[in-house]
Amino acid sequence: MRWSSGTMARTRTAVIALALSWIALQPAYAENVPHPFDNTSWQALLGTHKGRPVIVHFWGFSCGNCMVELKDWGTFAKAHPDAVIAFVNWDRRGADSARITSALDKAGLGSVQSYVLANGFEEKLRFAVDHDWMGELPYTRLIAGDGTATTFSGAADFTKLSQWLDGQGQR
Amino acid sequence: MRHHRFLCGPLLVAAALLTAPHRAAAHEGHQHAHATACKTTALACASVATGAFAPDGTFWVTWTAGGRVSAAHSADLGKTFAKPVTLPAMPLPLDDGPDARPKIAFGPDGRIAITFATRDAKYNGHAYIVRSSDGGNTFSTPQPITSGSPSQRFEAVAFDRDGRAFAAWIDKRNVAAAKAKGEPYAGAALAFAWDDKPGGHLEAATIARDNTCECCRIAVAFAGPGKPVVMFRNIFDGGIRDHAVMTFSDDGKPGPLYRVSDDDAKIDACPHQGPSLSIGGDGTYHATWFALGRNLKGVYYAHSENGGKTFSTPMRIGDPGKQTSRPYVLAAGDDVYLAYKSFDGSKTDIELMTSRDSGKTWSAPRSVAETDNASDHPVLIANGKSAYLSWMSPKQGYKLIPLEPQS
Repeated sequence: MRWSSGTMARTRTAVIALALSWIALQPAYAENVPHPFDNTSWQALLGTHKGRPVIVHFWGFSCGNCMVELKDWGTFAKAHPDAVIAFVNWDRRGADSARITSALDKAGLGSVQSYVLANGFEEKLRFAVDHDWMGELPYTRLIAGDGTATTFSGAADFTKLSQWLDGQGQR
Repeated sequence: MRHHRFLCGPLLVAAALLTAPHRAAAHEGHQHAHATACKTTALACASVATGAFAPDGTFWVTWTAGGRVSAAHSADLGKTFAKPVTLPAMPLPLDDGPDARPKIAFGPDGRIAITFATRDAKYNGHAYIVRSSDGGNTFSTPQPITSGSPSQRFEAVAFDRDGRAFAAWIDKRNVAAAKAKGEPYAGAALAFAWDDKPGGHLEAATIARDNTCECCRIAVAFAGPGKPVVMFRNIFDGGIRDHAVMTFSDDGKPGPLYRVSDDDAKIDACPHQGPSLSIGGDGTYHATWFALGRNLKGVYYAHSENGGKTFSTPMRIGDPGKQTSRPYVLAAGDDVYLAYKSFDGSKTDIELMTSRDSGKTWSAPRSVAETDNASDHPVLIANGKSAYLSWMSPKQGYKLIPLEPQS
């Protein structure tokens, strides 16, 4: 089939525009692809945000309580757009990355840093996060700007979380 | 179509370059995660394995590998195995939660039951039972453990002396019913069923207790003929997730619920660590569990000399600085064995304590196995009066380790 130059040009423009739109959307989507949480991840996560408060939330599809409060975390993240929030999926033997992305997006957590527990020596990875963490979910670790850590297991108290962020000089 | 490819090709390259770091990171993670994984159904590829002895002393192990449940027996304590039996592929993936594992139980007259669960994307479980009535020469196809329930997990099966199987599990039928009515319902329920007759089939399920923790294994042991005992993480008033025991009466119905310990676990979290229960020949209940409460936190042991009505003061197990976890207790002969995991930051030890006075006093712990990589939970099993550690680590393979009581 032969195409006239005008048709070719219009088609090319339309396709380029569509493709550029698609590319423009990619970084936001791709940022939410969970990175494997391995033996370098914890220190790297803290190092990247040194001096800033960081909220790290460990969750799992295997944990009904985690799924119940996922939307509340989404509301909290929306209310604190400048806060550094990381979500680490801690389902053993690996949860599906696409499903993690979808669940976080649906809960309004598309912009949080997302990780997924890498298969392997779970005890060692957990020990690196917190010697006292026994693997219960949900589990949240708050790292203050000065490196001080506060932890809690179970459902989050978002009023207290907001107060903690305020205390860190961040809304 | 040709012009479409011509125009889009370079743009797709550009798009790929823009997104490459993210995709590469995900891909590397995937490769790293599975670099050492093996995919076959062989025991060497198992993620979890559960050993048990048949009444004639034959050793059996059932395991999950390659997405299937298999079982094999050994006449020489696991040195060599007969050709494994691999159960049919199931419509859903096997339950791979931290407290899930296939299990095997033995009754009289060559009766064997293997149980396991699959799960859907929402972690609704579907528990199955597979039976043999000829000592494991042939097995039935997997049968659902119950009907009319959207979810069953952490099934535990044991045979009564008369040859009837008793099954208990965590069930969500009443959760679904409450949800349909728009009513709240905390946790899930403890359900049970008996075989209608020796060598028969499980009868319809009965809910023994509403509002139990939904994410932890349960433990079943027999206090005597017709008297199974179930230990589980209950949800007491105020949302307190403490452990309880329920002893069945002679008519096969659940008796009163007794609290094992006042951990005061007021927490809406999944501990993913269920209890272990064993009953000695003297009738003493031996219980061990992981506490996540305001009063107690960590791994504990207690015993009851009055059929579970009251328990001894909980004894803290392990070094608090070493992530003590996954305790398992076994009464065998005149001795009681207690094993647990301990992690020091670089390696995991399976530590063992023993008691020669029915749980009143215990030996100092000693390491009976170790690994510097991932491993399954320890399981203690008895062959008559002899005790063994059944343990799987992907790096070292399956181990059956004979245990000796310590003074």
